[in-house]
Amino acid sequence: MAERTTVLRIKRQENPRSATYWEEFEIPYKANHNIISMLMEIRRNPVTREGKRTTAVVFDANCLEEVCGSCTMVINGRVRQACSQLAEGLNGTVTVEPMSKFPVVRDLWVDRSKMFDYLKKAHSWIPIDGTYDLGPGPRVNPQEQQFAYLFSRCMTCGCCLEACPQVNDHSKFMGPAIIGQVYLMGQHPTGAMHQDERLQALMGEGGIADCGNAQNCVEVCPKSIPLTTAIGDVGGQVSRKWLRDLFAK
Amino acid sequence: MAEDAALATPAVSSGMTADERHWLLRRLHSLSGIVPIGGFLFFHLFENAYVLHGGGAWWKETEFTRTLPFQVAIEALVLWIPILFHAIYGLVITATSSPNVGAYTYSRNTGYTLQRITGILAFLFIGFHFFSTRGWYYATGVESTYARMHSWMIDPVYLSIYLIGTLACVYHLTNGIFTFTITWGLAVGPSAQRLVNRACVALFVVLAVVSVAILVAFRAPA
Repeated sequence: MAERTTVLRIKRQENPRSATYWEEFEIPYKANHNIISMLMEIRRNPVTREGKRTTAVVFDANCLEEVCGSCTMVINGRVRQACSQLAEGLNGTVTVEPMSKFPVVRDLWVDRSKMFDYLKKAHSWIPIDGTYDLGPGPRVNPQEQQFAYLFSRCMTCGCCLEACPQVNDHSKFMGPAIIGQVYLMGQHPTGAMHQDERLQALMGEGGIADCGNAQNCVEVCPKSIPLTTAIGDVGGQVSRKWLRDLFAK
Repeated sequence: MAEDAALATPAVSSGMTADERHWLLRRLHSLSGIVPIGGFLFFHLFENAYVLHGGGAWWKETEFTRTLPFQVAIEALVLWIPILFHAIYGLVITATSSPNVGAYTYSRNTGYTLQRITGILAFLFIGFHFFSTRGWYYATGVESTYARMHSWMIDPVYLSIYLIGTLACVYHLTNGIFTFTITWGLAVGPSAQRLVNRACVALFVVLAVVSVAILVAFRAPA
């Protein structure tokens, strides 16, 4: 009987400017294999399916338990974390590609730093440092805490940007993740004191008005963050701020 | 001094920043689709539904829309300018999209793609419809009488264009009402959005039936 194997068809790229090409690797089946452990097998013995010796496939990975977001890839056409995609349940040839909405560093490794730039742009933090003790913040009821917790699970993995039809090289849309974080910062009574700055950052080109309501973000989010609820709520916040400024200033 | 500057009344800023202009254009685009364009579509279907009472009733009841005071000014302000703005800026927005409904086959993603396709179809159809009826009247003085509309609706080519065009307009409006409620923060959570979405699908069915009934009614001999 033939040995059970998994075939990975991998989209490769030497450097950010070079052309892409595909290579196929056949990995013997092992219980609990996932995409990352199979990429590690390739690293151990970088020989293609045709028997050609090649360079090891470069990839980014860290926690291997779907909480860090660094191994996000497009597997069989859909974005997800590679570490939680088991070989079990995958049939035929499996295509593995880097995310298309981020610059490729090499092979499957992409540069997600723009998501961190967006966090900075939208002041996605709560300033509490000062020259004197500010004392305890206002109390938040447990229901609100629990709803806010959902948003705090965001790992800036990039799934929502990858699946969003409004995020691409001919649009400046910052994507859904930052809107979720602005919602999170603004729902906290201390964070709310600086919410206008965050809303201002989401007003311009690339901000919340560029959302097209395709709602893929909430479907693909590996942490099930209610991103469309944040988009609806923050959309209302920016609209109200705009109307307030329009009539009060 | 710095403290004085901080305490002073903020200077009245002259002009808008690029961010504010972008926001204003997007909001005007969203609003103009509902008021006045969406409002007019409801009215337009309503007035033309008189054709179900026969060609004579239709011509009599629609008379006042042809004999408005400040006719051209009203048509320009309520229809031509908002429609041109909504359509052209809509094309600008469409140019920033990269539909991926093949990979992500969710119903909302399908709606996103259809909204852009029906928007383009609606723009083409409204242009054709305007130039062949109202625009034709302004150019040649020929009124869009029942006989003229009837001769088109018995022509399968014209009828097909009108069916596709009106259904595209109706879809674009009803799906647009749904996304409008999200954009302005009226329907926030998933269950509220599901409810509004169902209402908009029901509205689409009603308006589609009315539109087809009107077009078919024009096929009856005068």
